[in-house]
Amino acid sequence: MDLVRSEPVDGAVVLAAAGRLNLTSAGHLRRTVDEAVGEGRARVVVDLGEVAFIDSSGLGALVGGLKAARQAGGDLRIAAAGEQVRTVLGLTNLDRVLRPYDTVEDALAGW
Amino acid sequence: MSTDTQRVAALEALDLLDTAPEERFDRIARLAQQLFGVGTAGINLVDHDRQFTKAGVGRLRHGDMAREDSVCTRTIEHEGALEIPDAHADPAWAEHPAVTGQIGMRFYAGVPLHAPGGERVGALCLIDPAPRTLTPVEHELLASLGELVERELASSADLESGREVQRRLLPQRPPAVPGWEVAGTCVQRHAVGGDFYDWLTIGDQLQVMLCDVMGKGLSAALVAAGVRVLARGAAPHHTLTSTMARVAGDLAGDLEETGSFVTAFLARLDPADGTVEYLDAGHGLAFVLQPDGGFRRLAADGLPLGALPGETWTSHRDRIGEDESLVVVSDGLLDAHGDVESVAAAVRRASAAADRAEDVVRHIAHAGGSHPTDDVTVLLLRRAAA
Repeated sequence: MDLVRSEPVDGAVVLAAAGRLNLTSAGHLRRTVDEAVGEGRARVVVDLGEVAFIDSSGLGALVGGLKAARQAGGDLRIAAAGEQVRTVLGLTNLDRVLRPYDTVEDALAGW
Repeated sequence: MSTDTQRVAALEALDLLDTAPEERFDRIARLAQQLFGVGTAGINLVDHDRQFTKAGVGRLRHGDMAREDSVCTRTIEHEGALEIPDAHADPAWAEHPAVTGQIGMRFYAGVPLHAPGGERVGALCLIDPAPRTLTPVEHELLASLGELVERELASSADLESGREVQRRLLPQRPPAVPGWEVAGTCVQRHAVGGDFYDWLTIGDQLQVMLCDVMGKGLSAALVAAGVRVLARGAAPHHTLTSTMARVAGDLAGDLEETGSFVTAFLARLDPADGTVEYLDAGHGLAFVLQPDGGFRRLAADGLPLGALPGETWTSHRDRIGEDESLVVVSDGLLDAHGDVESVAAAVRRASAAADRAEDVVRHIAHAGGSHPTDDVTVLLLRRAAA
């Protein structure tokens, strides 16, 4: 999985992930979120537009990142999730805590 | 066992032979090639009659070569590095296939790679068409890279330990419940997960559960063991919902620390009339198969354990009628089929293909095709026809 970090607006970090978000790549995502939160950038958007597949380890990285961001007074939002990602989020009811935003711009709105 | 048989057994236990290239090994091979400025670097595992290249750059390619063509097979004969500064000038090596063949080796340096039990299962090697002698510092560097590879080998072995723990979590034989057939199976893949199922008789009732702990390997299997023990301990003295709340509460610290969560389906059945009280913690794949060929999906409205602090769960009720079956499957089938409807259809087809409950669960477990990527766990409660 590739992960590209950008800061299109002040105070928020966008992490654009591409590939498979699974056991192999979950740690990388989680560390990157923790780094951003550690720098005081606790508003994180994970752009899942190019993620074709997520498994339970990938979900774990998102939930773990969400908790870390909220503890630091921020939030983690997900954007542009594809069908497989939405299916898994819906099945586990995790879409209640990780509400999918249609686009990165939607996720950033209001911050 | 001969020494080589023990060695090969240790290699097989790593579960790495004939596996696809993996970045965690490829990265080290590339690093070795770049650091030493050599044409070729590789991570080779030495099986009884062949060498399997797990990672290779330059002229070593992922795959097999005959053991007699391998140089690393000599490296693993002893501790410490094997260095051949100039194979052309060395009568012991000048006619070796690696020198005369397409690899075109003149310089070779390799260090043995040890399995966690100390067996020399392979080697990390450097090969170049120009003669060379490694400096003492370079020897140290090569040994350090070898240790990096060994850490990755050990994490493969951790998966193997997880598999053993996971196997022991499963109940040995189904409970005898008049008028019902109970069966479960857990088909494990290379990537060991924290799937398990369990059943427990509480008075006149039967409690069943199916859980999936996020993550793989030993740590996931240990969390699974914790869920199982906590649920068994709490169940006789607590309602269904408070059993779940206690499991979640007692595990909260562990799940927080490991950044993990658990999906679970937990139910209690009254075998006399088929009523079932159940709750779903982010699991979502429980169905009742009906004799008319249809099915109903059970309500799934709870979060996984460990997703949010202080979460509580609400139970629901259903009644399993005569000739109906309650089937719970793990998300390994979802990966194979894509959506819940397709999973349900595959479960229904598979369940119609066998008679006995234990055969039905096997059929369902294999409904994911021959190459599912995750474990598949299936639990079945079937009520006899009138």
